Amino acid sequence: MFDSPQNITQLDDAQLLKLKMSKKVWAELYCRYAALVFGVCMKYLKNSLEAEDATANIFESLPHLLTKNTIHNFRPWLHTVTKNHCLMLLRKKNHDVDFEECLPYEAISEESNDVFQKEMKLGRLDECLRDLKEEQAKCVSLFYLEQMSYQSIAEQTGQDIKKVKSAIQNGKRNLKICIESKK
Amino acid sequence: MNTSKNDIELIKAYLNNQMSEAERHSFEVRLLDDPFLEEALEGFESDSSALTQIDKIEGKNPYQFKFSWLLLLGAMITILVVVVLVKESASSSVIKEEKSKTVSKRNDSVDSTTVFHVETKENDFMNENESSEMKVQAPSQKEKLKIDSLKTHNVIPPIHRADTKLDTKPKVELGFVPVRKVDTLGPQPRKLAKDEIDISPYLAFSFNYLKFQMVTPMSNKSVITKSNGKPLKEREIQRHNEKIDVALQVLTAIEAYDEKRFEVALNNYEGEKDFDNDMYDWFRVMMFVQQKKYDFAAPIIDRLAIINSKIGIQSQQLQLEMKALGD
Repeated sequence: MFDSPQNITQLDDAQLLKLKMSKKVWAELYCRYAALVFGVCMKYLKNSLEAEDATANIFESLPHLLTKNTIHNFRPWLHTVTKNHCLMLLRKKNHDVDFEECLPYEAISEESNDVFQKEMKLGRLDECLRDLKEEQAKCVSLFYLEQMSYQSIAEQTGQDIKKVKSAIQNGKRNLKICIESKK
Repeated sequence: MNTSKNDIELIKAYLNNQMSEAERHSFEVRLLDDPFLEEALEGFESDSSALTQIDKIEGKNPYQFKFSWLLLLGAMITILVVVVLVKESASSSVIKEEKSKTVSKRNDSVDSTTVFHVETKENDFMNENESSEMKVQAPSQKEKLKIDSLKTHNVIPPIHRADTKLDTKPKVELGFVPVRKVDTLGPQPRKLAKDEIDISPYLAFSFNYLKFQMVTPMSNKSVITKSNGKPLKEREIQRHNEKIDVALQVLTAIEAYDEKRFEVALNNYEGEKDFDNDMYDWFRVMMFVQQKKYDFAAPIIDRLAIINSKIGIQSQQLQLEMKALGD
């Protein structure tokens, strides 16, 4: 019933993967994620031709990988596959890999995010926020409480946008650890 | 449901500063929860030209057939080439067919005049043990001219043309025996002394007699059939031809009047297994006649003349000539 192309585009990833694997399914997955995969490859390989080849190779290997493994959450799984493929290519080229090694992807689930948001709303983070470094605490507050963008925070604090981004990411992680430890 | 498509649109809008502050914040919150999207954004951020390649990447879907004018053009060219090739091969085959028809027609016309029946009558070359009828392929134009010239000298024994209907089937069934080049069909007539007998007709007979026994692609099936009805094996045919070749060397020596070569060749022939005794004696007779040693030739020819064979007939003829010379 979902076999027609029109219906396939209406399905989410999980529904799509439940279908009998066919060229239509692969084509739809390619349509959905090729650009994202290419973007990630660009981040790691920093060369559009290599990124293009890597994207093609990843999608060529997908049918084999998908039949070998049972995938519950396709999007984060594909991100891990892409990242690992790029790291493997960089290792082959003997590049210095200064980022995290290939690890199983641990995406922040919707549920944990919801809890985090609720905690934020409840004001239970005040204590934890005080424990953060000043830079991180300021950026996190502006981002979550004032709902400002990276660019606005960078302009307001006079910091580089990358530093703001990094401070928000690290601050968020530290807050999460803090809240879980005080439960 | 195509969220990733939307993601790309969001990335484009984000990088091109086409979002409001609220939209930017909302997208950045999402980025924190979606490392895939975040890393993709970082990738596109690192190289501004990467965004322009998205359409190209999406167009390279290996699982999706997309209509392309180039593809259509390629397909049309391929079809055109195939059609031209097929037509060419068809026309060449037609030409070949027509050629073969023309050749076969020509052969038919030649056959009607040159397919021979070699009858097992008194003047026949063939042995009685062999087939009563033998069909040979038409000789080449060069050979035909030679035959004609020899006919005028009465060297070639009578050969009767076929008067029955033509056999359209190929006469040659074996292709593995190499065709032996026929250098000569017999000696040319020369001026004779008074006490001399011209052995050229007998040599011509002998050459032809032996050559007709050779198994060549021109030979009829019956020639290479054993007395038990089974065809000879390839090596048996080869052996048979070798034996005849040795005999032909004896004849060449007689023709050249080379006594030493004759002795060697005759010894070789005698050494052959199952050599023909009558043929052996016939060789000796011819050499004695060449040497004008008629006394040596006479007893042998007396024996041969009473044999009911082609050699016997030739011997009778020679015997008559020798008697005439004596008279």
